[in-house]
Amino acid sequence: MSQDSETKILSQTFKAFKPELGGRLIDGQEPLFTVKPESVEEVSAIVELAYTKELALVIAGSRTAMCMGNVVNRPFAVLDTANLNSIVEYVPEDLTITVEAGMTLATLQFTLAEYGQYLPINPPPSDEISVGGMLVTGVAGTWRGQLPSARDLILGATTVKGDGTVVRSGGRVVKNVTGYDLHRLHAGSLGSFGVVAETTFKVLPLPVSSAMLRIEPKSIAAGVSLAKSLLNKGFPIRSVVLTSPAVSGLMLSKEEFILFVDIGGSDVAVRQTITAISALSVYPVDSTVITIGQQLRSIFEGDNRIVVRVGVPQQYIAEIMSQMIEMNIAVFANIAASQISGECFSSDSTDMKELADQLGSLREIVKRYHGYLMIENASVELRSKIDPSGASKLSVVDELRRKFDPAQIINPGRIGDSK
Amino acid sequence: MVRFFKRSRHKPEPLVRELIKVVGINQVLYTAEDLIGYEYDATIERAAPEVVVLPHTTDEISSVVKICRQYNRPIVPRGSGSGLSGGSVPIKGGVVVSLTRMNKILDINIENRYAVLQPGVINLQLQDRLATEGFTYAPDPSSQRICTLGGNVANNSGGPHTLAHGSTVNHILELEVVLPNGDIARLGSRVLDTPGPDIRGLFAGSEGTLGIITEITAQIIPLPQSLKTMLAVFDTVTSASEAVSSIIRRGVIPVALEMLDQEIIKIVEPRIQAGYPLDAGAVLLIEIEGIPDAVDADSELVKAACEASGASEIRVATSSEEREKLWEGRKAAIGAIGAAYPAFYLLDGVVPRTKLPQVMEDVLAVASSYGFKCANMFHAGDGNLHPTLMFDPQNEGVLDRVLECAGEIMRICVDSGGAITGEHGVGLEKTSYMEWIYSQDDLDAMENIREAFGPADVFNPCKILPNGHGCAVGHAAEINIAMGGNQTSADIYI
Repeated sequence: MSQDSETKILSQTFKAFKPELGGRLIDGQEPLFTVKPESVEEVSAIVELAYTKELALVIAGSRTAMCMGNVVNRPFAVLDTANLNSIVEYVPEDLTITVEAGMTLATLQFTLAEYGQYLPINPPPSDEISVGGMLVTGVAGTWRGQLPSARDLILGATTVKGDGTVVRSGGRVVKNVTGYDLHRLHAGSLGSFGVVAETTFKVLPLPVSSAMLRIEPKSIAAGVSLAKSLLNKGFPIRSVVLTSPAVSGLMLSKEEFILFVDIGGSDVAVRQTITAISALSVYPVDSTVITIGQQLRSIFEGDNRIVVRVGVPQQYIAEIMSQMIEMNIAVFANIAASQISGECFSSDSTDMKELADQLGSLREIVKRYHGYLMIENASVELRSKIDPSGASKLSVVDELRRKFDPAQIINPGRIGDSK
Repeated sequence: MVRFFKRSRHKPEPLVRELIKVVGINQVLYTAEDLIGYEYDATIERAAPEVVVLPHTTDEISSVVKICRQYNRPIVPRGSGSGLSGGSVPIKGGVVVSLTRMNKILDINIENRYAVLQPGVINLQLQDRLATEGFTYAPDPSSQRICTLGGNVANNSGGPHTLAHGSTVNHILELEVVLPNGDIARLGSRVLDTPGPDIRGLFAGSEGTLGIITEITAQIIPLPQSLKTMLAVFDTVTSASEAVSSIIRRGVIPVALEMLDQEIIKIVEPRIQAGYPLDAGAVLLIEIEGIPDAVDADSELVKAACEASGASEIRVATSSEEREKLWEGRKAAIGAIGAAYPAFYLLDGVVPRTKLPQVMEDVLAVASSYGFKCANMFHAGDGNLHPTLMFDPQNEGVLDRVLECAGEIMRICVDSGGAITGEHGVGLEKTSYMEWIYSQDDLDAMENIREAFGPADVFNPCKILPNGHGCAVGHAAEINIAMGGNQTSADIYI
């Protein structure tokens, strides 16, 4: 029987869920078909059917991070969560919200803003990321460090195991130690323990006022040093980001080191902070447009980019940032989170083996500093030559995977050994 | 007079001999008199371990775990024993691994904003040490004078300041742990957002059932530039509860927002002189921090919210002594109950904040229907209740009625959309309530977690999950009985 015929028969099996043949390539492979469930129950039914047919499922939200993790290692259908986009429960005064996992962060923020609240996360590339995707990819953004991430703010979740079983954990209260926090397992998991269908988050009041300051330090070291001194003062700073000349050039056509300070709080807090920072900085302090933050988030967007993120204790930020610049990587550092993000410039002629070796060497250095290097976005070719996550190999992760996805059908290969 | 216990003369069992070989004679307790202190935590649940080991290193713990597996003995990790759910009670005997001798602060790294700690470090010792450098570690369970950081991580402990700063899990970067097969693993790293599934986050709050925490890297934060502690006085719990919502509605998240009701004020004030008005129906203890002008502005918003909800008085602490006194009344409230009543039962439940006024009314009505006085001091901002039932243990059948009443109160929390524990943990106490919250599929998934780490009966058996292998059904037992009025229960905090 031809592969086409097999695909047709398989999609017939899923007829009740209106499968659409094909779809956008993922890791260079065309999906057998795509289904878009509209409820947790439908997710469960689809996964259960896939389990019985041993059909692999790749879970797609807003598809902003489909080039993260190991290459998917089997033919697959796509379970697209786009139609899981409802608010399940929102009580503004409780500062909690439960939404379906396919909802975009933008929709969520829009809803919250009506009540003067927000989820204090600004992950790359934009608020178009799905909230489920935000949780499982672990991407955080420039506010990370001063503000929490999804793994901190998640209060509970409804997920579907690899055999279709629906599992709930946590709750809708802001403080809860009732049983194991299964929902935390999904943070950073790349969806390897099942499908995240609903999530409950703790939210915060929107700051009444905000401002973005721009400072041009003379060097990386001077920028990092100033950033750290500002962060130690307890100002209502949401982020301090140091851009390399390459990144500054992309954003402002000015190839200098630039320190962007994002402030958010009450009117009086923002005003007092601006005054204090102006007094503390030996370099001129200018106000700039707040949308710089959005530019920083989206600067490395795109499937074809090679984007790396390094986490390293603050004392090593200047050293590692310099090394990355020497490697021709356009970088910016989120000082509070001790993270450096960067894009490796590449072209068709770029030798991926050489780049993988370079990144591997850098990873060894940051590991010695108790940090990590992960590849957030890259081609199949590069991700086949270097472990994208660089996560420690823990046998318990494999065991958990076997327990939560016994047939290994959900996002197969994304974490662990890609072979 | 110093009393010496004579050691048992019988020859140690092979298990004990093996353990002594690894950790040394002075680190192994196995005679009945030595084991008494390890039979219980801050509940009345009791069970004797067979052996207690007090290791000094991670390698020793790894060897101890392997020996216990070889001899098929369960292992129960233990910190200070200040837990409030029976979590460190060795209900199936076996080997208690006490972490109290692993109590060194290994590194305070101001530059990189972390502290590396052994699990037996006392919470307050860390805070005191950091304060000298202008920094702090945010989670502050009310037992912070005695509880260990290892215990805090195991229980994902909270405290008054979790409202703004989050629970323990939000402050842990990396854990070194010994797994059920004796392997040593590191979870997380010294920076945020380590790639891969958040096993660190899963391990926090696992109540010693997945392994032993042997090292903790915790985030530290600068002390605030300015701090304001306020006391708002109300006629009723309902109006105080409404003020809590009103404060949040105005966009202010205080770092702490605590409530004490009339019953607890009447107990605390004569003993501690915290400054709470004796005729108040309820008081809110509110703390705001930040940069000075912003703290002033936020405190005005808080005052307005309290006044709009009917506060009869709003007082701001004008000195650190006054602030400490206000907090002492809150943090030592349970000790004061212990001094005032022969017995009490401390509960821990959590509800959505907006349900507080109704839930508080229902809780008091239930307690009253059983004829119990009920004192309340709790984390109102988080909706985390601690109703405390006071009773005379000499009354026949009273314990059964206390447990029944407590069950009804827990049911109120669950029915209001809340949960059975906000910070004390499930432990032994609340395993039977787990089915009120979770379906069998949910509980099976939790069992999957346990099995993925190793056989379910290796570490801290019979905790968290109901109907564990060979375990009796858990029951609520957070009862402290101060017999004869000589004990003050001063080591019990919430």
